[in-house]
Amino acid sequence: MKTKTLFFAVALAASVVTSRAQSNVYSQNVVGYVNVPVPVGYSLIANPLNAGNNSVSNVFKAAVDGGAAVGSTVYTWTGTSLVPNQNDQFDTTWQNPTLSLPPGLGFFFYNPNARFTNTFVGEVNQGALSKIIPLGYSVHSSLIPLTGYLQTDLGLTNAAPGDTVYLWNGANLVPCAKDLFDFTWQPLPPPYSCDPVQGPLIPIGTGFFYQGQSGSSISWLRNFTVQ
Amino acid sequence: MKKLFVVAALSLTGLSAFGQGVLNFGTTFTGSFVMPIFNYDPANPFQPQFGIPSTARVTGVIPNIGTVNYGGALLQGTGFTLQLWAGSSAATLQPLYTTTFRTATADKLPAGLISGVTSLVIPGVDAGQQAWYQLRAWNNEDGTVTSWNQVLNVFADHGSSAIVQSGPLGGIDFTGGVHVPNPNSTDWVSFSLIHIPEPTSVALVGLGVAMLIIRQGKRSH
Repeated sequence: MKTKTLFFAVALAASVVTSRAQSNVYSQNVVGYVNVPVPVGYSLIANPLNAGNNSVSNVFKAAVDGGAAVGSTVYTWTGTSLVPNQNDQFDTTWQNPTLSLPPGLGFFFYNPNARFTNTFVGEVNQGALSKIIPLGYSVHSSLIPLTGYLQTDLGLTNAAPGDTVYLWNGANLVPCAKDLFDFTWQPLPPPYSCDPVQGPLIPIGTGFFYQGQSGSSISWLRNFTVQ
Repeated sequence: MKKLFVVAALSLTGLSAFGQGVLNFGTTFTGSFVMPIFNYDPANPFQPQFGIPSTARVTGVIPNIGTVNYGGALLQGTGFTLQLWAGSSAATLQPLYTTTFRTATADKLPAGLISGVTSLVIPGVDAGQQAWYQLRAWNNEDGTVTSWNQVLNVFADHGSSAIVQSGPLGGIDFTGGVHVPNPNSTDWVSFSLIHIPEPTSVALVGLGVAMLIIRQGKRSH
């Protein structure tokens, strides 16, 4: 994996090593934070880190407490449509405060206020990570906190010909399809980037729609260890 | 395949019978729309009021360009019901969502509003197409009046918005195109209930009028 070329935007705040001397079993947890800009209006974003408690009320707690995210709405995809979860502008509670927003899940965020930056805090997912991408439309993000090309860096190596990734430009979805005939990813106009072999570039903290057309679900596998 | 494009703006008239379009329903969309509903005006109980409330009447209404000074109080609590009716045309509306109102410590927001936003599938309307909808509200008489039909039969206080058209619905359309985000239900404006007198009161008044007519008739003979 070309990790040296990746833009690893996670600011590693701490590297915690815990050990159990008796059994000589070690675990290394890497925790940090990622700043994700949240523009006015709709954006398609994601939580890049495992906060343990990945509920909407937790991962946006600071932004709500500070007022920046009061009145916002998070929209999650059901497979056929988006379901809203609104932060109440009067009492600042979420309609569904336990809605889980784990790494790997993309979601729409409607920001009715001024642009702000949300700081996601948590652990970097490591090891053999996996996710099922169903047939039809689904919304995802990188399983690991990296900006990278979908196929080569982020590990989605088994996209089927005809599968399409849609990126959000603030008003519409911009498609990037894997060609049915030559199996290359189609180019994207600036400011997006899509390599014919590596696929579209997915910025850290960004979600994307995926349209699976292969006739069945596919597995997204990514082995990742912080060196 | 390289010439794929997003069908977000497709309008597929004629395919509505297979539709699964979705509308976000609510009375509050922070920053763009806060539209409360009022009880009848005690000074003019049989006359419904319509229009965006004046912010002098209710602080926090959006858009803040309203001029209507509602005489009735903001609807509050579980004693009032709000129902969304929607369909593919103004003639095919059906009830899709029922709820009650929020409360406040006084006659101010968030009274007059409902909690949260709910995504609703509008039957018979494909994603990308527009739906028709209407809000209907009534005094549910301590929970005993549970449907619009019942409202009309028992003469409960009630009111409704104009029938309005939504933006293109969200979801996946008949051709497989995805439409996001869902449109918000921001096409209507505030309204008030009208008061319907108790049937017994109406009967007494009628009886009184009848008596007066009879008495008048006797005098003239």
